[in-house]
Amino acid sequence: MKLMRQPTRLVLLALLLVPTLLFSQEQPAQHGSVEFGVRHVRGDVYGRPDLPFTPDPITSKFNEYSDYRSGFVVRKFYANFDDILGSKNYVTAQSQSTFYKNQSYLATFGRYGKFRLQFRYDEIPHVYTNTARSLYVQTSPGVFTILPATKQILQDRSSTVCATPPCTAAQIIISLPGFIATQVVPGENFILPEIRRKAGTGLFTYNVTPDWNFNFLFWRENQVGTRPIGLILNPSPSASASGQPQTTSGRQSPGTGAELPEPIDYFNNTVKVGTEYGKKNWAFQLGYTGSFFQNNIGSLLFDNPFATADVPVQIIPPGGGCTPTAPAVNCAIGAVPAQGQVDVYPNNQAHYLNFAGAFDLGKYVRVMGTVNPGWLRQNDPFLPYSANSQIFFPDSTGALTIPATTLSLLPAPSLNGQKQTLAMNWTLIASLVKDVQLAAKYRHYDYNNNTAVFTLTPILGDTIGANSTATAQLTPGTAASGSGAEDSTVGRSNIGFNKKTLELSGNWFFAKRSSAKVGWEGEWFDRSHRDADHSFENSVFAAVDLSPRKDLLFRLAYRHSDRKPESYQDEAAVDPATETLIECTSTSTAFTEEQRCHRRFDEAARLLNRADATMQYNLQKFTFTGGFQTIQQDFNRPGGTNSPTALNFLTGAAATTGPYYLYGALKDLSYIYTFDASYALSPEVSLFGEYTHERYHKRMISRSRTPTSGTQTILTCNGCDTANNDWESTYRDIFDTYAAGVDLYLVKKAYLTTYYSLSAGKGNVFSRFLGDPTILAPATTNRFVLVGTSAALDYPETTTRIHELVAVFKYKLTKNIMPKLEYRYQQFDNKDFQTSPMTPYMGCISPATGTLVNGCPVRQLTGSTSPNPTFTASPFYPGFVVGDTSSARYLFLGVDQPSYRVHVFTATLEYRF
Amino acid sequence: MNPALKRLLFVFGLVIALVFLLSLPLAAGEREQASKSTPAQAASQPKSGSAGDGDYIGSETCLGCHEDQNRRFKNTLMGKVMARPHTALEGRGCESCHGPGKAHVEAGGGKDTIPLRFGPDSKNSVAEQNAACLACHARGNRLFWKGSPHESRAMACVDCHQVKQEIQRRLSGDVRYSAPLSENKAVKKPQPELCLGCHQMRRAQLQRSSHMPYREGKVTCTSCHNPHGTPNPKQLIASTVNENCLTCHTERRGPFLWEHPPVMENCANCHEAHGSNNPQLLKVRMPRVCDSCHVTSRHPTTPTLLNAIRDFNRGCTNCHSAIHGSNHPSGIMFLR
Repeated sequence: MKLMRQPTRLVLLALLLVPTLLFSQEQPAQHGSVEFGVRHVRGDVYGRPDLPFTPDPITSKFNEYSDYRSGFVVRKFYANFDDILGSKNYVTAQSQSTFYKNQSYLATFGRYGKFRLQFRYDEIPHVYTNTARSLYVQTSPGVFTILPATKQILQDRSSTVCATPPCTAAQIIISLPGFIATQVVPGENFILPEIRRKAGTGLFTYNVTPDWNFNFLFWRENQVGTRPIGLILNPSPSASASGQPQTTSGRQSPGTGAELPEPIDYFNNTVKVGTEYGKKNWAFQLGYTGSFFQNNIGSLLFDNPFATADVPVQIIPPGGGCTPTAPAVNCAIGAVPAQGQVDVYPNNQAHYLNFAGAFDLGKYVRVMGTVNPGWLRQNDPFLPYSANSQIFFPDSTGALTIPATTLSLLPAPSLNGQKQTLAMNWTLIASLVKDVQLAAKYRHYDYNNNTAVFTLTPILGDTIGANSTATAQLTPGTAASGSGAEDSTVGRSNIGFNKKTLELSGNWFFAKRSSAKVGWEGEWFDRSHRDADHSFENSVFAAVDLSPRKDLLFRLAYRHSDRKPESYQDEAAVDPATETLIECTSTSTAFTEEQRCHRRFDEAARLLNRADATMQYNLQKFTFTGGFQTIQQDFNRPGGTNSPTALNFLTGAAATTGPYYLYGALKDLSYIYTFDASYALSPEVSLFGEYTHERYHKRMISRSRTPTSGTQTILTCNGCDTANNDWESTYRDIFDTYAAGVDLYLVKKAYLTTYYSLSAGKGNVFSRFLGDPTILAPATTNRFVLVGTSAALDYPETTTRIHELVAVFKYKLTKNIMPKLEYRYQQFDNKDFQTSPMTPYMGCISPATGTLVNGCPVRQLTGSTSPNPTFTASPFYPGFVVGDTSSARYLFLGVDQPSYRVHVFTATLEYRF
Repeated sequence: MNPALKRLLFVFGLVIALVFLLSLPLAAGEREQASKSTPAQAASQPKSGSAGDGDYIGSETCLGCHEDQNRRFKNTLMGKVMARPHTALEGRGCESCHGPGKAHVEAGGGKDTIPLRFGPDSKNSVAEQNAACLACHARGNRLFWKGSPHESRAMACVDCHQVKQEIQRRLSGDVRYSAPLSENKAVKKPQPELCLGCHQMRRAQLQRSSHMPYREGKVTCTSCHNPHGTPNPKQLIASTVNENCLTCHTERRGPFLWEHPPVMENCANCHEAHGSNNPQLLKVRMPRVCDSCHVTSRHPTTPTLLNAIRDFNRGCTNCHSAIHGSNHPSGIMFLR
């Protein structure tokens, strides 16, 4: 038997039953129960006919956080013994899912009202996918490699500047996608990205006196496993992906990406110590919490699949297809990294002190307060700017001789990150008049980053381009024209904020279980290094709870908030020549790095309305609850820090259709309706039903903007920054959740309970252009550019349905023995355009016209008709075209959580002792 | 067996044995003390309130008629505590909650003569009912009950908690959701079912494809919220949303060399903790969750086709994987 092969499990089971043997003879009363038996799981995964294998239902989303497998199970165990061995002590022990990956144990030893010593052990699995494959092998913790021979072949296949292998890494050639799809992917290894959290907690509480308590807690958790992470070599996976060497200054090597199973090996330790002392009218608490995070993986070092060695910036002289454009005198290809190195989450620690107290000031007033200062620390050693040994920094003479892998280039060996937080709350409750309660609450939260500020010179994506004359490598920290600030030497900023909230409210308890509440709340939010330095939010709220009869209850609540930033100015919305700030309503024609009229929703002016209504009706046999909730956030308000006039490009009637006064999120609306009813037909039969309908709607406006080069302005750059390229996206989620069930109690010995539930969700992302698509002339200020692969089109609908049917039959055989049969069916139907088509390679594309690329199963674009391109749809996922030119050199894991059907049969025996 | 588990079991066993041994003399001492101070004697100690000591009759008198209730009560946690009283109030037994029983006895019984009764049938106000509970339970995580949302909405302790009544549970409730192991059995339903009775929209959210392990019983409502009131927003246990999330997700705490401001301010800017149909509990799926703020220039402003690399798989985090913060000197764009 499988069980017999695992003696440790038997020993553990025996240990669980030890208390039974010890005490059951002495005390005839029931002390606990154990439920054990066998389980059989069968099912299938479907919906991915394109995969060359069948994913296992046991590792499907069904077991995302659980561990349903066939075999012997000890589902639950509970035991409690009081006054053990003549003492006044008790002991309890509980377990769930014993021996499985989601097992839990809780054991307590103590004396009622005096002390408690508790131990908890808990495991949580998390399976991310069961469709992943990878070319990479982890050779040591955090180091991922590809066989050199494979890399050489991929390098040869991706080179256009080499006729005869072996070749150096450069651009892709047209046959690469088909080669990867047909020759590389089939040889990849299956992997199962999953992590397991294992946590143990020890808790000791001791009541020194009835008024004085002391408590101590220690929690240690280990997370082990892998989870998918996306990584690239180059600032963009699409940079120069398919082009030829060009004369563009700063041009970098082809974009390369890889999705890896990031190794996770974390330890979390938390210590809490606290004490509380109090009398009838006052109490105070003191405590300390220390949290220590340790990551046993220091960094990820991964091979570039398309390069066997680091290659410096390559200068290609004119001729042979290279025609330099001044000031460039050559063509160039950026430095190619053979490996990329990524920093993973650094070790850190946090320390918090807790001071809390509550005091009655006389008979009618109570004051409560907390003060929680916190200290956050992080000092992990830095990695070098790049793992590419062929990128150089200037030495004291200005010559590019110092490799970017040199740690001494950094301004400090580590961050020595220091943050301090301070949370304070003060509450005053006054009950000066009978049944009336007045409250004043003040909340203060300070988040200060005291880390030293220094200047860095990032090397994005382990690559760098050539200088403007294309004669040598670009000097790090020298922004290439048109490449943006992120290539420059930059000083990091310490983001901090302070939030103060004052709430004043009054509550009138006008009848039993009935109250009315009104109040006002003001919130002052101050930020550093963000767009809105100061904002204030005014809120009024009201709530009524009314119970006209003991079986009827109405709850109504409403809140109205108005948030106004004092000013809104993005630091990057500046004139690049004069560095003067350009505001939303400015008529400056300078191209700004940031959209001048954008408003980030978390800082922007906002009008919020929220309403809740609930009705509960509880008769003895019939209960009904109905509820409604809506939250409406409106950022699209003229004036204030937004534009006072509509920003639409069009004039006349067209401009009045959905006018907008900012760029970014405009609306965020939700409507939720819930119903829940139960009815007892007889003492033996009861029914229940539930239904929830939810609608979520969000709307945003953006503008397609392309940085200018040279001295151009938004009037001369031909469509780089014009309202004619504004586009809108609306996001809609609709959910319907149903549940219905029956409980039967038969002849006092048999129970049957069954229910069915369905959660059906569908989501849409709609996009549309807002300008005039007929303005296509190249040399036009308002040139429409949302064409071809930049068109604003709807995404396919995402649908998710989770069905669950459960039936449980129990029969009370004797006073102590109850057999139980359970059947559980779960079906997950999933169609998600982001994951359902995923395979390890998504760069398999064909040109818009002409013949298909050999080995590529799906053809992509059939035309670039403006403004709505047409496609040949994937036969597998209608509406979705698999493949992207930008991912021609990106190796994915193929992560998906496909649909499944699973049946679980469980037969157990519950024994009470 | 896993070596770590083996070590933990060993340490736990050792501690249990030590505490047990140490507690034996304590037990002997308490037995001695208890013999000097019986529950009846404790009950005769003064209790604040208008009733005089003479109005208390002792639990023994109550049991003369209410043995049935006592049979259930004595097996509850409170019943066990009161059988081993540490305070005068606990020693009053039935009358510690229901008030002095003299008038009730003299009237020959009757619900109306019980000074304090609980539940919807009670003539006592919610505040009066709660005051009885708070006489013992005002501290610990109930320190901020006064003025808390549940208190101000006229909720009674017994709306959620049961003391001695045997509650007819809907059997299906036991099989729909798992709950973390807990010693607290004095609630009418296990979590999350208990909270979902009123917070119904959360019930639907728990059914979403992207969720924390609520349904699986590894996380529950009180993992993050304290229904008895806290001075923090949304009755969160920690001071802010972020401090709450970072209790478990400590790796994202930082400080980082490069920080993403909305991440540092509020996880809920992007994530819906109660459940979502978008990957990673996102409120809006990528790339739109990023696009709604990054209305700047270059690729975030291009409404790319659905087959663009930033639209499928991990969306923007196909490349910007360190979006919660980076400690790499070249991680300014969260690529490292």
